Amino acid sequence: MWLMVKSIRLRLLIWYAAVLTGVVGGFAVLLYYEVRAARLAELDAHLESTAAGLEASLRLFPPHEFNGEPPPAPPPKKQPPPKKGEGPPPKKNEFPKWNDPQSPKWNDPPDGPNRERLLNSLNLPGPPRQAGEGTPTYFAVWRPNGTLIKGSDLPPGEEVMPSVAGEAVTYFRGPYRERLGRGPNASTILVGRDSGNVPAELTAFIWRLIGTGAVVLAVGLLGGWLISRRILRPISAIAATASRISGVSLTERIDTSNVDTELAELADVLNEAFDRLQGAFDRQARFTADASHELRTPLAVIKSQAELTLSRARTPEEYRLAIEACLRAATRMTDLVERLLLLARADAGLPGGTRSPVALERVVAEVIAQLKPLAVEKEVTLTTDFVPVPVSADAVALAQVAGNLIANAIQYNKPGGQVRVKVKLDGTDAVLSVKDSGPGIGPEDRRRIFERFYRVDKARTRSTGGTGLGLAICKSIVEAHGGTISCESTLGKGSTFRVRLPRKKMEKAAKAEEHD
Amino acid sequence: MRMLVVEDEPELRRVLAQALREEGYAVDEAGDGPDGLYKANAWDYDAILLDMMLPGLNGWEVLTQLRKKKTTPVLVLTARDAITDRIRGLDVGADDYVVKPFNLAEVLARVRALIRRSAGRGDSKIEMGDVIIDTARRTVTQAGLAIVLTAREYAILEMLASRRGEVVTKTQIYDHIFDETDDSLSNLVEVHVMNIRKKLGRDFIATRRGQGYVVDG
Repeated sequence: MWLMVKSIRLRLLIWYAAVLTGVVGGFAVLLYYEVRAARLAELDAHLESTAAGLEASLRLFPPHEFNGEPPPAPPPKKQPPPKKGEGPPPKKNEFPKWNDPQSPKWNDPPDGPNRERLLNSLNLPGPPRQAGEGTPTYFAVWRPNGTLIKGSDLPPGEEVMPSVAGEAVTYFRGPYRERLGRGPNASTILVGRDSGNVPAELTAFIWRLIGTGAVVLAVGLLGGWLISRRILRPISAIAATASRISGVSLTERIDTSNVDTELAELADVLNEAFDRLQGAFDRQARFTADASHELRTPLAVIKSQAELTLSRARTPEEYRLAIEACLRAATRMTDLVERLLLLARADAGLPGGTRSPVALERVVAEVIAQLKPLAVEKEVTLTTDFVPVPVSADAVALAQVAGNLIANAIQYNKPGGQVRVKVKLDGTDAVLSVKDSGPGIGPEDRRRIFERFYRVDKARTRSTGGTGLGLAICKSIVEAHGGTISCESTLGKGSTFRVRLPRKKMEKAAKAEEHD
Repeated sequence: MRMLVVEDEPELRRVLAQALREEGYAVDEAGDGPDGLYKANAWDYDAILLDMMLPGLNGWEVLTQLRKKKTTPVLVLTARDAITDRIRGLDVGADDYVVKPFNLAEVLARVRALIRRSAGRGDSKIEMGDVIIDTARRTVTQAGLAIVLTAREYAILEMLASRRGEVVTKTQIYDHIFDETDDSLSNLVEVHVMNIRKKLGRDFIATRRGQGYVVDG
C-alpha cells in the first residue's frame, strides 16, 4: 500500500499526518490523565479531610460504644458502674468533663443525652444543614462487629460494612467516589461523595482535546501541504522546462537563479545534459544537411546533364561526353554513400566477431605498399619505423585508418616532401603515427578537422575528389576500438597524426565477443 | 543577356553554363565565393545563379556583400531545403531559389521570370508598334509574321526593347552579349545591329552618333 503511493507530496503528507497525530494524540492522552488525576486528588483530599473529622469525633465515643454491644444492649441504665464505690464520689454540682473517660457521661445509657450529643457531633464538617438539604457527601461508621454506629445519606446498598485492612483505600463505586479506612477502636469509616459532574467534565475535556487536536492537525497538515508545494514547485517548473526543451527547441535552459540549492544541482546536471544533447543534435543536423548537400550535388549534375542533353539533337561526341559526366557523378555518389555507410557502421560500434589478433605493423606495411605509386607520383618519400605490435582489432578497419592518414599525408605534401610512418608500443598502448612535411594545419582547423565534411583547404574541394569524410571515419573507427586519434601541427612545418589503441581494452573486448 | 553562375561543383557549373548558353545567354562562371562576388560586383549581370555552400565565402555572405552595392537578380541554388535556409536566403536578398537536384527547364524559366521582373515587366511579351517580342519563347513577330533572328541578334533586340527610350552604348551591348571568354571585335555589335535593321526595318533602331543606339526614342 505504501509502495502504491507514488506521489512524493502525498507520501510527505501522510508521514506528516502520522507524526502530527502521534504527537497531538500523545499529548492529549497525557493531559487527560493528568487532569483526571488532579480532579480525583481534589476529590480524595475532600474525602480524607472529612474522614479525619469523623475520626476525631469518633475518638470522643466511649470504648463500650465500640465493644460490639448494640445500642439496645447496654449495661442497665440505673445500675451504678462496678467500680463506682472505689472511685472518688462524684460531685453532684460539678459539670463532668466531657472528655474525661471517668466522666459520668460514659455511663450514659445508650439512648442517653450524652450519646445523642456525641452522635450529633459525628457529622460532616461545615455548618449544620437543614433537614432535606442534599449533599453530595455521605459517610458511615461501623463498629468492629459490623454494626452501624451512624450512616448519613448513604446511597442504597451501602449499609453492609465493607472489609478493610490497614491502609485507607479510595475507589469508585458506580458514580460515587469512596474512601474506606480504619477509625479508632477498630471501627471502620467510609466516606463517599457523588463524583457528580466530574466524569461529565472529563468527557467534555476529552472533546475539547479532540477539537484542539483536530485544529492543530489541520493547521499542521495545511502547513505541510503548502511547504511541500513550495518545495515541489521548482521541480514541476524544471519538469515543464525540460519537456519544453525536449519537445520544441533545445536552446532553452532551466533557470537556476531562483531554485533551492539541492534542486539547483539537479537543474545544473539537467542543463549540462541538455547542452550535450543540443551539441549532439546540432552535429547530427549538420551532418544530415551536409550529407544531403553532398548527395544532392552529384544528383543535380546527373539530372541536369541528362535534361540538357535530351533538350535537342546532339552529336555522338556530345552524347558520349554527357554520359561520361553522368557516370562520374554516379561514381562520386557511390563513393560517398559507401563512406557514409562506413561512418554509420563505425558509429554503431564494431559489429560482433570482427576483432581478431593482427599484427598492426603488417597491416600498415600492406597499406604503404598500395600507396607507393601515389607517393612516387607526388614525389614524396615514405619512410617507416616499425616494431612488432600485436593487437586484437578489425584488420580491415585498421587498414582504412592507416590508408586515410597516409594518403592524406602524401596528398597534402609538397613535392620532394617526406612522410614518416611509425608503429610502436607505448606502455601497453599501440601507437601509429604519421608525420608529413606538408603546410601544416592551423589551430582553428585542427579543432574541427575530425568533423564530418570539414575540409581544411576549402578551395580544393570536391574537384580534388575528397569527400571530407576520411578523418571522421578514422576517428569513428579508432573510437570504436576504444582508442584516440589526435593531430599535432606547426604551420609551415607539417603535421603528425597519432592513433593510440589500448591493447588491454581491445583484448578484453575481443574476449567478450568470443563469449557472445 | 549576360549571366553569372557561381557553383563550386565543376560538373554542375559546366552543365548550367552550357544550358544557359544554348538559351542564348552569355555566361560567366565562378567556382568559389570570392571569385563570384568579385565578378558580380564587376559586371552588370542580368541575373546570377548562386550556390549556397561555397568554399571561401558561402552563398549568404556573397549575397549580403553583393546587396550593399547591387540589386542584380539572384537565383539561389541550394541543396538545403530546410525552410529556415530558404527564409535566410530570401531575407539576405535572394530573389528566388531552387532546390537541388533541380529541373533544368524550371531553372531556365525562373531565370527568364527574374530578368523580366527586374526589367519592370510582368508580362513576357514586349510590343513596339507591330513588332512583338516574346521573351519566354524568344521569338519575334512583325505584323504577325515570324522574324528569324540569331541568338545574339535576339539578345541585342531584347536588351534595347527592355530599355525602350534609353540610349544604350555599344560597350553595354558588348558586355551584355559576350561573356568573359569571348574576345570578339567590338565592331561585331555594329554588324549585329545592321542585321536586325535589315530584318525589322531601317528605322526600328535609331543611332545616336557618338553615344549608342535607342529603340522607340
